[in-house]
Amino acid sequence: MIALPLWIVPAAPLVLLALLLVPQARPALRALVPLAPLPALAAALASPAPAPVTLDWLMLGTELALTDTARPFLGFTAALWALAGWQALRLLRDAPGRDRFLACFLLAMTGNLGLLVAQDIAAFYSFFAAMSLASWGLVLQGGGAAQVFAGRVYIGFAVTGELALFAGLSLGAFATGETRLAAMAGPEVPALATALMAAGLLVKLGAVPLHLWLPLAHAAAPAPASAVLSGAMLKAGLFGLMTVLPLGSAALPGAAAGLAAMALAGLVLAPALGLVQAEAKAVLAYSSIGQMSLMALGLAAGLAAPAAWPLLGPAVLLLAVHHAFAKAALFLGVPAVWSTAPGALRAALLAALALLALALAGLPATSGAIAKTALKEALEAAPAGWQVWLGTALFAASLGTALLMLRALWLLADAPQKPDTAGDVALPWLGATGLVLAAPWLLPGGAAAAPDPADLVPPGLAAALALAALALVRSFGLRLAPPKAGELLGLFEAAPRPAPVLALPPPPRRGRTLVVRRGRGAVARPERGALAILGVAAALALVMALAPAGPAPVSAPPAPVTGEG
Amino acid sequence: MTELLPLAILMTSLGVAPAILAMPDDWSRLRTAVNLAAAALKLGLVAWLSLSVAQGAEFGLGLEIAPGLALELKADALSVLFLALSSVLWLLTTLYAVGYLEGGTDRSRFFGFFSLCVAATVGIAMAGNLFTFVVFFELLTLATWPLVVHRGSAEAHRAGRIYLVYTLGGGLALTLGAAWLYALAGAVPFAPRGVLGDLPQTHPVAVTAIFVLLIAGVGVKAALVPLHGWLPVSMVAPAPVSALLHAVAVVKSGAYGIMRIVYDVYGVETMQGLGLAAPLAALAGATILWGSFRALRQDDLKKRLAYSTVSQVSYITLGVALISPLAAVGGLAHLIHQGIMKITLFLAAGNFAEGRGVKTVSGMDGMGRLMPGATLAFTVGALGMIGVPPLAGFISKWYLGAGGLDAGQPAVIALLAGSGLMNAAYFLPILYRAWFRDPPADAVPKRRIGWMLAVPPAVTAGFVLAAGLLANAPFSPLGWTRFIVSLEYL
Amino acid sequence: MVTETSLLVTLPFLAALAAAAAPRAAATLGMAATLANAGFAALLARALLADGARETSLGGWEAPLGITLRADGLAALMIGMTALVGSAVALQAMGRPAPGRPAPAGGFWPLWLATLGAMNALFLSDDLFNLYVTFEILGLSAVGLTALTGSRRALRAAFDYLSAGLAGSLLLLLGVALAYAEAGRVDLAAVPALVETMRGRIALALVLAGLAVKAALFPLHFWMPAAHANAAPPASALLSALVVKTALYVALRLSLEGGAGIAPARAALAVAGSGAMLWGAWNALRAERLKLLVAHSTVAQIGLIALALGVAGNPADSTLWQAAALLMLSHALAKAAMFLAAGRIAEELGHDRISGLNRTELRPGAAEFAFAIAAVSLIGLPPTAGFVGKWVLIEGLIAREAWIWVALVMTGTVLSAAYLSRVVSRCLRGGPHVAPGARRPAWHMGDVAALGLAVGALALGLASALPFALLETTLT
Repeated sequence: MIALPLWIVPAAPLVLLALLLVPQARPALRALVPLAPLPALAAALASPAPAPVTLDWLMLGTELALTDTARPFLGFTAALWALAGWQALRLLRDAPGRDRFLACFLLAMTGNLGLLVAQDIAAFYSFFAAMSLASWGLVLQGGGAAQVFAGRVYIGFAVTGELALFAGLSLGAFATGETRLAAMAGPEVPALATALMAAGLLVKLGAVPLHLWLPLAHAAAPAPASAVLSGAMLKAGLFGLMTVLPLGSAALPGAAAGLAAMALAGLVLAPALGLVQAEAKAVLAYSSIGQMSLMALGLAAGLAAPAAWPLLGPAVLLLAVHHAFAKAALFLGVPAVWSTAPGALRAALLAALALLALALAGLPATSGAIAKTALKEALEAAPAGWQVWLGTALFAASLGTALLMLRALWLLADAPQKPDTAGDVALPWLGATGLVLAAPWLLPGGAAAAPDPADLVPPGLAAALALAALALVRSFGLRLAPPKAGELLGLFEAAPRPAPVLALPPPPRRGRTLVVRRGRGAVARPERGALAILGVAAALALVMALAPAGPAPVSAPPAPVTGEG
Repeated sequence: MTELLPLAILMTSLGVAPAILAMPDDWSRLRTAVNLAAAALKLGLVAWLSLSVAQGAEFGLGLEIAPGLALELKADALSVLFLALSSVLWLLTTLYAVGYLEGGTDRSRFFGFFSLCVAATVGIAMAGNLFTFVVFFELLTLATWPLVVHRGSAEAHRAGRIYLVYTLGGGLALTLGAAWLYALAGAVPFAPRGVLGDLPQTHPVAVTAIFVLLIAGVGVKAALVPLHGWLPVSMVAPAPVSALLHAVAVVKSGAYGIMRIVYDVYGVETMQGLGLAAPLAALAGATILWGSFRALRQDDLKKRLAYSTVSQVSYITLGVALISPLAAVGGLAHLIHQGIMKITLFLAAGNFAEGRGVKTVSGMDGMGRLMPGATLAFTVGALGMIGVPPLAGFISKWYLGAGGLDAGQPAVIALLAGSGLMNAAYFLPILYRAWFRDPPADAVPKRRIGWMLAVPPAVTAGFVLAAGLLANAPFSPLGWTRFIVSLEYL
Repeated sequence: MVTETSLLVTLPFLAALAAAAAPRAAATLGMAATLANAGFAALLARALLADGARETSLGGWEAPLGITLRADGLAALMIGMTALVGSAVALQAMGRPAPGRPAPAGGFWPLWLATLGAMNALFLSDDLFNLYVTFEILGLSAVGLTALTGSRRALRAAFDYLSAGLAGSLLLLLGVALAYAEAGRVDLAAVPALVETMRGRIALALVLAGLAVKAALFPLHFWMPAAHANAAPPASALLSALVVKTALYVALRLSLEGGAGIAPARAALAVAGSGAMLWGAWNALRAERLKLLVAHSTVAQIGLIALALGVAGNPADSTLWQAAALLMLSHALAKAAMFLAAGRIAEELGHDRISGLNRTELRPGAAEFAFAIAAVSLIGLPPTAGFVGKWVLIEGLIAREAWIWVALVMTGTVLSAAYLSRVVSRCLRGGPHVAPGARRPAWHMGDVAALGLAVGALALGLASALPFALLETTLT
């Protein structure tokens, strides 16, 4: 087998993007979009891993390599982009602005794949920025009011996050004198730098309270875009954090506590806010917040107890992979449901989706259970003080996820058919679903994991609660009034500006500042001239006559006419 | 023969200016041919000069015009930086202007002064002493004025008047400062690490006052707040002139002047010794923020770009004033980077106005569909301005940030971030409108954009990309600035 | 012995006689004489640069009895300036008038040649009495030039000029007589002796007052704007560029000879000069007619030169007076160009109201371009000689920490930029201010002369080393 050059990972989508700029080539090349991430997938699966590439002339000296941490990330990211690309082609077959969407899609893909292999700061930051900014185009696709609002919020957060990351990387790079990304986790990086980098990445991760963009963007974007946003790009934030935080090398109890607090807030808030949403994709998005918070909790534990990281790391990674596929599959399933009328086919689809939902909720014998077990076991090494609430938190997470999944399925079941959605959007979804369901056999040590009956409790409890709620709602004839999108930001509204009554141009400026106009000059008076001559002559004669003969300082201002004599 | 190279470079534009001025308006073919030939010739000569300078050659030519006063041309690495920028962009802007003004009036006058303008810029770039610098600096003022008022409307004349008041006022301050310095020092050649000797110790107050005068003089052209008022007003000029003002010649000369004064007249040690650097850096910082802030609310596209220039040019000043090699690399590189980015933006904006009659931000709806090429170029320029990697602006900001830390001023990072945020806030809405909104239903093409208008912004957008992507290559702007800084800070 | 020096004095007078005698050949003769004069001026300058300053006695009689011609760098510079400006003005006078305009009066050439001869003689004179005599000849021929168009306004202006000139001559004569009574001699070398005594100083004061009238130095400038604005363009150019300079030249001579003792006079010059600068600029800002604006600008510029002369200080320990000489030179070229250009503009437009310069059916032509270049020179922007002169002046003043004078010079510069931009901005009209089918004025000799002078003023800045080198050659 030919060794795959690593630079092809980001280059493949980028080249395709460049070719798509030629209008004549578009019809032929569009179909290649789902294939663009395949080189990356190949690189992730290649054995041995592709050799590092150093490109000195590129940017500030670019270095690409595939680390052990990055490898699984690259694998699931590439797979998700391929599936999402496939669905995007089908879903947006006739949509206006399709090519623009595909261009943004490819650029975001480039960024997402590239940042996983970038080893130097400039390249990482470039890819990260490309991903963030290009995703703006994914969010804005469709151009409705919801998309515009979501887009505005998204870009605000994205740019702010970028700048925080920039500031952090600058500080870090200067402190260490290094341009390698790995050095950012080193001991000489100042705390402020770490905090800024983490802030920038936590925006991407969707940690509370930096998550405000997330439900908006996921709900507004087309389903395949939501799938990669949730499945791949949130994980890019996680990947960044795993790279720049001094995990496993230094204990940062303060930072750990802060991160844990954010994670806990996410675990609580996600179901609370998600349950009242009226749109399936928004509910799924809140569930993503919850799940990402769980991963953040793992990172927090790693920060608090460096010794636990060798166990925690793989667990978080496992969780990330599991969530990536499961959540992406759920998002991809949304248009599949839309394409069907309520009936048997839809029921079958919903059943398949329910399987995914259960996997996400951590039902035994699913990837979710494996990941959760791994995390639970790893967290036992967390600081003693944490054990008090860790169990509760994990239980709340599972319960919250289960409730959200029920809510999402419920909403999907009720969703009206969208006739313009082609039936074949289900194909990529099927692929993703198959991957999720096969996961227990694919994941390392997955098949061997014994099912834990305790894992059944949260879904069961959730089902019971849901039934109770349903009964309550039905019996009292209540109806849910969904909240405004955007949480806190939804509360603000631009005050309407009074329209100008009459737009008049300002009066023309006639001021010629330097010109003074006046009437005719005075009439000539010859005698005045004579008097002036005589006067001046006399004055001059007087001055000269009275002046001392010796040298007098000429430059002594002012006029010596009066001063000397 | 080679020692006359600086003179030859100067004459390629200074020599053709009178010829073009004298041509009747309707000899457009000959005029275009002469213009482009001169621009191409100059580009070739500058390339030759750059190679020679890179190999360590030194060029110097003098003409004594009064006892103790000499016009002196010399070419060092810093000159080459500015020369390369102005000669490359001159060629492109000339091409663009030929297309832009096709069928217009007074074209001979326009192109004559255009050449004169570039001649002055070249003179500034190669000025070997402060006196020569002042001479060409004032010449630039004079040569630009007819271009600013080229449209001849009342508004254009008002802009011209304001331009003249500001720049002549600045020129006066510069002249006074320079004459004062000559009176004190006898002669003020430009030489790395300063030429003042022990003057700062013997005459600290005078040297400080001179610095203030000189910076006020060049600061007008560099659009330092509060001396920036002319720049947004002069956006009434035709697009190629805006490009010239903002990217090729005028503001660049101001920024270049600051470089020369700080590095080659005062020298880094004097700057620090007299405590002049920190106020200058603070002023640059204030300008960066104020320019960005004012840009936020402008609906006129060119005005928004003009305020953006106010802000961006001060990055150069900031890089110089921070007194750190890293910041200097950022500032010097930004001289080029800002030039290619801003010219892209202005040329694209000119295309919007020419092709669709769009001059406002609110009119940009759907421009991406109507004029994809120009909008793409504009996008590249705008993203570069924001500092999105891997474009040119990022490289500058990266070095500026590192330089700020190096100089013990971490606030620079906050400044860069704050300005970046504002840059995004005023550029991204334009991009949003252009790409994600639908064009108005009544959009009609005003005029077909010929290749002369379409190619230059595309080429400069390519430069923006290349300057960032290939930053580490030896002949990139960054590579060259590293070379210069190694001379100034050794 | 026939040398360049003596030829410079005699040739123009002889040519003037010939031109008066043969009116048909006057133009050819006049032009030839003017060019020959220019050639001799160049030869003189070259000889001076090679061999140093020299004195020639007319007819071999030595001072104090005979007439001594003293040719040093300053004189050569002034002669060169006269030759240059004169050639351009003569060129303009040679050109055919625009269609529909009256042909120039036949008296121009004899009067011009007489003026030229008088000026050359004046610059070469070495004693006060000769200066007085040359001033008289110059004054009369200049009055003739003013009156040449024969219009009522021109005659009125000529009369004003004549009266002022006579008043000035009277004071001059009084001063010379007093000086003779005091020192028993009138050559310039006697000036140091004169400043020793009170009567001598009064004599010098009277001479200076006379010069002030002739130079139209504030506050004795009242006659000048009308005279210069109403004369024909070539005459205005000569009067404004050259004739007023003669008085300043003599003032400079006195200052050079007088040494430290004449300091109060210098101070008076400086004060009057600043007043002139401000007052002239103020009036130029308000002027409604182009030529009036130019004339008022002459008042202001004369003020600047007087200021430079005044603050230059004792020539023994400062070379600032060289800056004043350079300013004189630069002003001569630029102002002549400006008057010629203004004449051409008025000719094309049919009037010279500033507010009416925006004529839509006429495109800006070469004359307006020349005006703009001349304006650049007058304001003192690089690379003109005006800039170099101002630079040297300011540098010298700063070295002496004479900040008030620096501020005044700067103010004068700002004001001159302000009033000249009134016109120059209109020279750049275009766009909606020009009708589609607007015509461009055809080329005339006047355009060539104006443009040539303006470009000369511009280029002189780059060649300033030559005048400075020339000024270094003095009699020791």
